[in-house]
Amino acid sequence: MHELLLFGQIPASRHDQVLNILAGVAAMQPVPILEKHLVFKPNKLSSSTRPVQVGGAQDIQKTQQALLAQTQGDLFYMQLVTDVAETLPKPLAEESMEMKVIGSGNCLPSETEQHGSMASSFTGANPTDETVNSEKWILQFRDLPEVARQRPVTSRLMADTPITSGSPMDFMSALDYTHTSTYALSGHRFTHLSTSLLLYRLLLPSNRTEQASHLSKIDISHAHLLDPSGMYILQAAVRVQDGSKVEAMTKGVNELLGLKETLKGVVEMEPGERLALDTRVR
Amino acid sequence: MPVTGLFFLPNQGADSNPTQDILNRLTAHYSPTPAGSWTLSHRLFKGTPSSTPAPINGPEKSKPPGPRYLQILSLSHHSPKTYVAITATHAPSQTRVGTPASSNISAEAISGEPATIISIPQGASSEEFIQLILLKFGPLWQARQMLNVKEGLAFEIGDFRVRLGEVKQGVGGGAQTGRGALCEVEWVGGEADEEDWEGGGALIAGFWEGLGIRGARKVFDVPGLTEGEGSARQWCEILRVRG
Repeated sequence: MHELLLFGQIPASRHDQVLNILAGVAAMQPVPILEKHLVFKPNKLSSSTRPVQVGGAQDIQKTQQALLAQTQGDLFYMQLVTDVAETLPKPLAEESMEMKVIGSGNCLPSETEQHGSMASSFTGANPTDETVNSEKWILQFRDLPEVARQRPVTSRLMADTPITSGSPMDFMSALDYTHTSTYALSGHRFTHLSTSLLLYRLLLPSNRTEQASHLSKIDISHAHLLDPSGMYILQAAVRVQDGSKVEAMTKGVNELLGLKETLKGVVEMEPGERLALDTRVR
Repeated sequence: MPVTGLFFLPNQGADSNPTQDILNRLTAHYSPTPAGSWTLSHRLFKGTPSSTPAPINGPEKSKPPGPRYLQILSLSHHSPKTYVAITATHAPSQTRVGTPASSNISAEAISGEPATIISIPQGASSEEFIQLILLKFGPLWQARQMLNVKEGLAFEIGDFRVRLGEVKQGVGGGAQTGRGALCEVEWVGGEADEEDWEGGGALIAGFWEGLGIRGARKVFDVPGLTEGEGSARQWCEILRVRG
């Protein structure tokens, strides 16, 4: 599947205003999202460090060359993503519903207060209730974006594979991938026509034990922001089933450009920087 | 998962039709009731040899590690799941460690530990995953083989459910070479949630002997059988060491 993207940046002070505007554009309440992302890196060394063997009969050289050619590809980082909001025990889930209603309505108290009360609704998840197997993990793959030729948007190959049973952690280690880092994505989601709008910012777990933890609970109150300025990212994404169909891709691009036009003056939407979105292992 | 046993009867010569042979025996010895059809789709990938050399100091494992396999298995009677299994095998004692891709795996690669199995939704997701491994994971996994059973037959014989089909190798649509007949014997006599692999195993062995077929390869006891997804593990084992 291909994904077409546009990005915008919103300072923390304008978050509530933009949230309300987006709710108006999308004609829906914002859906709160809290995802835990585990980043995995392949253990295999990249082909550039493979020692080149000199000599040998022609046959051996041919097979070696064929082997080298096959193994000389890029290796990619992968992510395991799970939705933490869904694994909340019931009373906390009700609190988050409350937050949703307030978030779309009138002007709120200061940003930090809202974040503080949201934080209290997500902490304290019972560790004994949650095992990795009871959650829904998605194996996420994102390719390097294509070179921006005619399309004024970021376009990349992506695959999201939900894992319905079995242990995702054991699977990743069997694939020879190791867990390198963890982060959380906290924000709101909207849907407008075929576009998925995500207004979020990234959090890093504070303590080391949570960094290594594979459980899907996140202690929001102790997590700190990846970007200390508190800047939010607005991501508009359109997914196209078959990236080779020009018609469908053009339709997606036009929809994104239409959205860019709608949000002109509110937030500037631009394609992302290609190399910043690079998931290859270097 | 119900208790199952798998049997494979390879093609012997140009005229042999093992599927028909088994079918004849089934109708001769038992009275099967047709119970629909089933399909199977299997893709095998072999892991490229790791670039790090095996540890020289001290024998940590009794056998050197052999090639790793990634298998993607879709069974119509296990839908909506598609199984993805990764197996680490031990090399047989004669061959060298880290055999290059050009050599054939004629000797059986014995798997010591249970395979790691996850399941993904069947259909679009599994197709996407297969394409992903083919396109983007070239350096790690090389496509080896694709097997499928197109029109498998299923029968019910008393407490047993027998699924029989001809295994074909190759890409769909084009020339498919037949490899032999696969037969899955499932014992449904016990309680629904009980998994009595030992008892069921004996019953299945008895059932097969009643047919009197020779030369079939039987797969029943695989590592990790009782850990869950036992039937999928058997399928992965029998479909892995082929050709």
